[in-house]
Amino acid sequence: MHNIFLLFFFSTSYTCFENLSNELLYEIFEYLDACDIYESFSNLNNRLQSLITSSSLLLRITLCLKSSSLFENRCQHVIIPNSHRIRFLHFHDESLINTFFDHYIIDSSFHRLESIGLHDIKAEKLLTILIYLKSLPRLFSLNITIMDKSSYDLGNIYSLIFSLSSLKRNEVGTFGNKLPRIISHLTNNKFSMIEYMVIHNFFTLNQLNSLLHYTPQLRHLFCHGVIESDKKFKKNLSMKLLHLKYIGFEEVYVSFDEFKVFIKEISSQLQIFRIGTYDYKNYLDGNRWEQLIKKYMPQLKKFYFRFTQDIEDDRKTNLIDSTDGFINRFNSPFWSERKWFRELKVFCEKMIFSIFPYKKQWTDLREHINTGTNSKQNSIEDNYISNREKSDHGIIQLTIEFHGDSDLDWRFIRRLIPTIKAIQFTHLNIENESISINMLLNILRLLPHLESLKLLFMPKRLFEYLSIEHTRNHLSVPITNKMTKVKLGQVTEEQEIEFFINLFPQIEHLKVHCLLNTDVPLLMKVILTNRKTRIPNLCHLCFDFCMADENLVRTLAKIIDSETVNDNYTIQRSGNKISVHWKL
Amino acid sequence: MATTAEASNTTTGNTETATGKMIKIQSNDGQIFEVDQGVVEQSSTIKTLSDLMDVGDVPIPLPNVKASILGPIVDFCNHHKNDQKPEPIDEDDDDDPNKDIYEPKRSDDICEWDLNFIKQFTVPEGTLFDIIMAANYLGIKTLLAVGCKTIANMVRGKSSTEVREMFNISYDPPGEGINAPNAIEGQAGTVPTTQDANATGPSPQPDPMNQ
Repeated sequence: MHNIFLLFFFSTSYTCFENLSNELLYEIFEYLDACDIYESFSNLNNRLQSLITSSSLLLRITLCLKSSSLFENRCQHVIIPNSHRIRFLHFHDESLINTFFDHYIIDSSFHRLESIGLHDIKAEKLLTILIYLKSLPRLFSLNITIMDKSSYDLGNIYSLIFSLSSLKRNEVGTFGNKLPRIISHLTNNKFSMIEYMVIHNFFTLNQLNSLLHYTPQLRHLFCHGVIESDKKFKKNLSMKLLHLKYIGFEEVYVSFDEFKVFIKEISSQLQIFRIGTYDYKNYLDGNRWEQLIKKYMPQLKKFYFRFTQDIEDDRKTNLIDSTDGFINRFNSPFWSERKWFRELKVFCEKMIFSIFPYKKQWTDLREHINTGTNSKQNSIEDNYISNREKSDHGIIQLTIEFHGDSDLDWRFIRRLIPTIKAIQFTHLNIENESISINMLLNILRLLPHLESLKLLFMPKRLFEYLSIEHTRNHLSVPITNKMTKVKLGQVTEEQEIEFFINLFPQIEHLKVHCLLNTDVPLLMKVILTNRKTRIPNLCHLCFDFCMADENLVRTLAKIIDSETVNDNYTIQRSGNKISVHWKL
Repeated sequence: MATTAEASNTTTGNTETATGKMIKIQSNDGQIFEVDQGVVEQSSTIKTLSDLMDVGDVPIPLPNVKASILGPIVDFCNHHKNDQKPEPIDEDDDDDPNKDIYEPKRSDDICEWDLNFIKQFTVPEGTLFDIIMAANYLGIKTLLAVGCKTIANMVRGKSSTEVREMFNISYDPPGEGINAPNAIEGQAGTVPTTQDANATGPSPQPDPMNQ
């Protein structure tokens, strides 16, 4: 019976798995771990067997904690017999590492191994393994997480890492003990060829300097944190990193002056620089940064700066509550010429001031432009963008995000008022689910220079404020506000749209994120009706709707045709987004 | 309002006319689809053919793709034609500054629209393999990746017995292969490694119990 069914199946002209070419099967294998390939395709037939055992198929293996018998089976039947085909081998558990290396070694038979990962390994075990890795001619990447409560010298480990002659990329994180002592025991005679180094630890500048002494080819350096040491960092002329293009520090806890001595020695070729700091207010001087970058980082293209401060600590908050708010210290043309934007983010009772390079924002108009339309239109839009880019250099954005476990309340916002008033914010993002309409209106009153608003969620209790009179009563200057770009999240009712239309009569660009149950054609009718009267400047409308398709585009086009006369518009869909663009 | 082309997703208002160059493509069963440049750009095969041939109004023949597959492919390309093109990869760039370029390819990152799109193609009807082969023939990398990731996700964690059943994978002809059920029995507990070109395995035989 079974074979009759198979006969029937194969006599049809349906395409089957085995019709896929070898090239396509290899393409599929690219997405599979070697253990999965062997588990799923072994012993099926000659062709598949040849494919999975072919020497041209290089294997990637990631080993996580499974049963010990399964692991031993994989060692015996997949890893060891295929050692010459393994390109990527990562262990994600101490017991796996111990079991494997108690029975096997990674020697020159793994001659195609390019990347090895040893996670949660003990320091002593690592030292013995590193010695064997010297025999791998193509080991380009080494990723290590040491989990060890005992005391050990990280200098010995780095000595061995730096002696791996083909290594280009190294990532090390240590957990479980106090700051490891390093460097004094670094005994390399020759320099490492490492180009890409990631350190998930806190080092002092002196420790970091000692490591960098052995990596003259370094192009990318990330170190999680820098901490103060008893011995101040002094200039070290032996350290020359002429290829270093990227530096990232997540947390810096040394004075700006000391950090400057260090960074200026290695930053001549720097293109991307990330730095984060907590409470160290001496990093908040825009003029000092400007001088440092101009003088010592002439190649810098991208600058990411982040300063975090606890809002609850009133004493510290007061430091930035003065009317010459610190953001204004980053106001010189130096920052705007480079299109490095500024943002103040309120997140979980913390204030985060950031500087970051231009990245496409929702307020950007490029994505709305139909490149297939005529040249006259393109020319108009290009001019518009050009003008907009000029004005956007001054963007200062206020973002209110998640507020911990409790709802956002006015007592919290009140602590921010001096800062909010001191800075001329032009963009407001509210990404907080718990904000009420009353609080939103209060915040809007404090921000008279806003040009754009993004709401990730509809405010709570919106329906208590649906009449125009009510709305205007609660916003003192509704007609004179400058809000031209509005993005509304999770809209389901037409009244929600009408509320914001009443609030922002200058609106030019409206983006509406709809939910599954949103009646998009009804929203379109409401917006078109209002466009004739309340929001005549509206020139771009975008619906973000997961069910967007060509039928909906045609339906919306019909509504526009029936509701308006002689209206020049284009409508187009890009994925889930349907955009309407009117010529004014 | 101007009437839109069947496969185009741009509609223009009263006096606006779409000026993008439209190209006709023809499936192996004779159906013609009109596509715009945004679709053409995603298929290296169609792009090469349209560049080489001065096609004019003559449809480009695509002899390896039937209409029931070509139609959805046009939908896929229309959906993705305005996607942001990935910027040139700069290993020092900022999105994930510490990423390891040696990591294996991921298959858990198919977007929701693509997941729904690929669901219409099935193994029993063979259309899932049709779409992968067509994407490969047409040189549409994004669609090929979605298809291959889908297969990889179906296979992951399954035994070879389950994979044989899921994809109806054939046994070798009697007396020729290595994996007839009685041969497998002899190899219980082992997983073959790199094949020795000179080795001759036991001949595969259909399981007599299954006849």
